[in-house]
Amino acid sequence: MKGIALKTWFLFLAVGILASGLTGCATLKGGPPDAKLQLTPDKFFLTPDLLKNPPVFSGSGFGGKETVVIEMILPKGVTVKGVPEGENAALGNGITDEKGNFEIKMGAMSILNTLFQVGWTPLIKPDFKQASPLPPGTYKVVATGMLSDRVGRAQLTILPPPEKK
Amino acid sequence: MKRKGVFLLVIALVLAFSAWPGQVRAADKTAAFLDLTDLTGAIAGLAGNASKVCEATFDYFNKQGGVEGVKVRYIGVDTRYDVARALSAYKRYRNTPRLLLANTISTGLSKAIYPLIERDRIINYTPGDGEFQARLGRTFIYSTPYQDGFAAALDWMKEDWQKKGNAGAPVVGFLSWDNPYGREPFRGGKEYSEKIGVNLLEAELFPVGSLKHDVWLNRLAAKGANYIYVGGVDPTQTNVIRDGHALGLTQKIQFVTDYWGPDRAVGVKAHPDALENAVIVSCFSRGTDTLNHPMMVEIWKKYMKTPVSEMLGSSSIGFSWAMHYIEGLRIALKDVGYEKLDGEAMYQAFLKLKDHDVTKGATGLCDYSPTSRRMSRYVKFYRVKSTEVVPITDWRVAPDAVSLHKF
Repeated sequence: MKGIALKTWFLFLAVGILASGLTGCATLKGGPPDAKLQLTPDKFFLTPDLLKNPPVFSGSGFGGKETVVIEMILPKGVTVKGVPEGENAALGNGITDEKGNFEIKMGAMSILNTLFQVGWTPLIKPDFKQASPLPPGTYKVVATGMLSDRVGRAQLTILPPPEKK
Repeated sequence: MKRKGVFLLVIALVLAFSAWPGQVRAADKTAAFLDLTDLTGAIAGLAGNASKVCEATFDYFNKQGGVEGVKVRYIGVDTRYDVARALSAYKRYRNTPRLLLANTISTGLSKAIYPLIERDRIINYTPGDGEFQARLGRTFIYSTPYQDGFAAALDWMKEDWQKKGNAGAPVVGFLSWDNPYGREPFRGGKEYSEKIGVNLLEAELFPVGSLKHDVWLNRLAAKGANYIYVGGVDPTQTNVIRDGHALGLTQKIQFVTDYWGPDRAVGVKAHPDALENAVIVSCFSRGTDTLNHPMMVEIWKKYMKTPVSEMLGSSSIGFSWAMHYIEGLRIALKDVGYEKLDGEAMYQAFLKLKDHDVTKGATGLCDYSPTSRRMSRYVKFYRVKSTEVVPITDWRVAPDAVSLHKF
């Protein structure tokens, strides 16, 4: 009797694990095809010149005429003002053409708020005295088509400031 | 053995139920409000405070058992006035159970997010761009459109001009930010000025963040402006009028600001002398009206950490966001019940809000209907008097300037 009961419990356990596994697989099944993302330049210093010459994201393979949002995946230990831990920091957004291609300059607000993490004065001017720029390093970047759910991936490297001579 | 069996059963059930798609926690009935706001960015002074009051208003109702037993889950996201961040946050939260409305605090964001609002069949709030009235959709303007408010101000200026014994109509200058928001009042407002015979000077637009405004003020004064309408977000209007006061212009020109003008706890507090007699047109209660609003005062006392005397003018904005959501939710629940509650039900409910006294006097009667995305047709005029903002008119219907413009 004891043996039968034990088998029954193991059967319950197996069903539970199976259900869990199947649901996991279901989320993977039939995902949209990958899209492409490129960043030019993909390596840069954090200087105010970025506001005049912002990096450009270009992508293809997304849905036609859809909104694309570009995000940086924050490594553990790197924080961005206003972004809860474990979540991505946005770098830009735009709309694709009919063929699903786009070219977007990184927006001034994203450069200021995410890369430099500036403060703002009451006169609505960026305050670089309160800035805490992102640390140098290589970051993963993803572009997501908001309607097609297609994703393109790239990398971005923030170069360490050149040593003062 | 028995204990081991129970333990295994619990594990099996936990695994099985955690794997169940679309799990519902039966304990709380909730509906969600996604606030894509600005808590630390460029317009945090206005939007951040409005959001705090909005959340406090939901807390106040939740504490009393919610709306027909349904509690509002407020999700506040600090987008720092960045469209990309707001879209990223929307992606993150769009599958929140019973997400009915997203508050999109800039016109640019409202336009960028709209395809997603349509796909997800929810609704969104937008500040004041008349285009959302001209092209009816699922976006609801949370104010009286900017051009309607400007047209109401032109009527008031003409009235004031004639009350002072002058014949005809005054010369009006316009000074605001050089961005789509700054230009919006002209899209319909200019046509309205022609309709009522007001000589509206060419708009003077300046970059957001300008420190001094003398050049533009002097130009308008030189062109003979009797009134100057000032846009921006406080303290911008305060600083413009401060500069006008320093130039001696407030003696001969009446300054009038739009809804986001001098706040009793910001600009008025900082420059009371320069702002004395400045006029504000607003579709939200301001100054002493807000301080005398029983529900807002009760909410402030319960949930905010500063004395009521510190209440900002933008409090009525956040209060209005919450109250319109609550009233819509009440109708949606009555119409479809909790099980069928979704964004479409909320959309249909919002279309039924016309003539509801949603905010108990913090705004005029609601105007949302199948043919209107205006929060209200009503505006009120206020004047800065002895460091306070006091009403000088009752609620009055703003002209329909949106329909005068070809979008």
